[in-house]
Amino acid sequence: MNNETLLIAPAPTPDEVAGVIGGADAPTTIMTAEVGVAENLGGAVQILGQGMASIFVVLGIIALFVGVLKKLDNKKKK
Amino acid sequence: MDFSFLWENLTAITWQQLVMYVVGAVLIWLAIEKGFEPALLMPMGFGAILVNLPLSGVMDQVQNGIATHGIVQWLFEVGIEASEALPILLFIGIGAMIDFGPLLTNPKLFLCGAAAQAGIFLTIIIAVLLGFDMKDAASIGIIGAADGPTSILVSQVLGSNYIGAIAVAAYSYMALVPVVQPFAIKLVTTKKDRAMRMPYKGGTVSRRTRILFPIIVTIIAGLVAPASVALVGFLMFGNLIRECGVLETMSKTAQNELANLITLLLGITIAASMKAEEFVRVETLLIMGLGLVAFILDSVVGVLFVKVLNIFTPKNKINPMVGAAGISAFPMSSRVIEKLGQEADSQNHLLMHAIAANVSGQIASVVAGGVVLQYFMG
Repeated sequence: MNNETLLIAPAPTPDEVAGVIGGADAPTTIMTAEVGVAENLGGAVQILGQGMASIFVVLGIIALFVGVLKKLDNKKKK
Repeated sequence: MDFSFLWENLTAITWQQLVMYVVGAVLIWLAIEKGFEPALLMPMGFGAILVNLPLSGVMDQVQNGIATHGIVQWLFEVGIEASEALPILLFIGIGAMIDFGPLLTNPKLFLCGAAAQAGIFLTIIIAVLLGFDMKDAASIGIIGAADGPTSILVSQVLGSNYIGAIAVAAYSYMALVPVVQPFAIKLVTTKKDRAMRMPYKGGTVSRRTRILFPIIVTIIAGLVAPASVALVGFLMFGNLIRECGVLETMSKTAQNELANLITLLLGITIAASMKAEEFVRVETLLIMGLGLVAFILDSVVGVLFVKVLNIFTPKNKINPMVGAAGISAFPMSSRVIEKLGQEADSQNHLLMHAIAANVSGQIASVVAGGVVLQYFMG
């Protein structure tokens, strides 16, 4: 699932779901509401994976650079 | 003579506006009596009353065909809506205030800052399950960044409908860190965990490292998450002013006058998003609840991460509580860890380690804000 799909297919608004109630068909109404949440849930899980990976990569690389600078400082002192 | 104009507005007050006067009064009380983030909660509380007076002159109004422009609405449109200038500029001041020295002497603690951002993303999932759409859920989750300007900026850029509630939640829970974190930490630690000592080696950090650090951070964050450049860049610009050693006056201005002026304006400006019709709704209570969940999850995941890390580095263990300091609520979180450490063992001093994790959280939280924006920008 890519980001574009998520943006194109947002969760149905309460009004949209309310409109489906007029179908007098409970399973259809429940499914319409749940499909939106399920799609968003997929996006939320994706953002969790991408987000934490990005943060660890950024901070990990910074930590490595700082470690190298620290070693260079120590060498200079010796 | 008709004097009805004297009480016309009084009868125009809605019950939702009355609720907002109470909210405003509570925020002012928390700021003045309890000392909770007074620099922000006081202007926000006063602003909440100001914008909710019927036909308030601080907001744009059209009366009998005559349009008037309101100063608070103008500040919001120019300073936040159009450019996000106020929250971003505040980062110069924050960067100038932070001493990254303790973190630079122990770079391993960078990882604590990264882990403690998990609460943001876990809260996004919970918000989605509660029926919020993705952009609102992401804006709510970012409360877990424990960083008010980042929360305001992300919710504004994503066009969230709940920016006022998000700002109130972010600043309220930052003020409540001394209450929230001990509860969360005790959920996942034993007294033995909390009593774990960590020797502090200290050491000096060279001027070269201190100067290169903000530049390196900006480049790396910019390359991995370009959307974070505004946040990280201004934070690091402030820090470079502090560390370069040749801009002493500017550094002090950024730390004091600039930060105070923007904080003052930001507080009252954000009140523009606290109009009764937008604020008094069930979702506001949900957002307050989710903000609390985000802070608890940040702390719990931070502690658990360190526990796992300790399995792989048995010779150089970290007190698990230091992981919880990885949220960016600086310096409240560090003080909480020091206090809990001393409660478990009166000779246990964790402050410097907690500060290191805490300032790492400051960087990680702005990166998290950028990463969330990046996701929606595709």
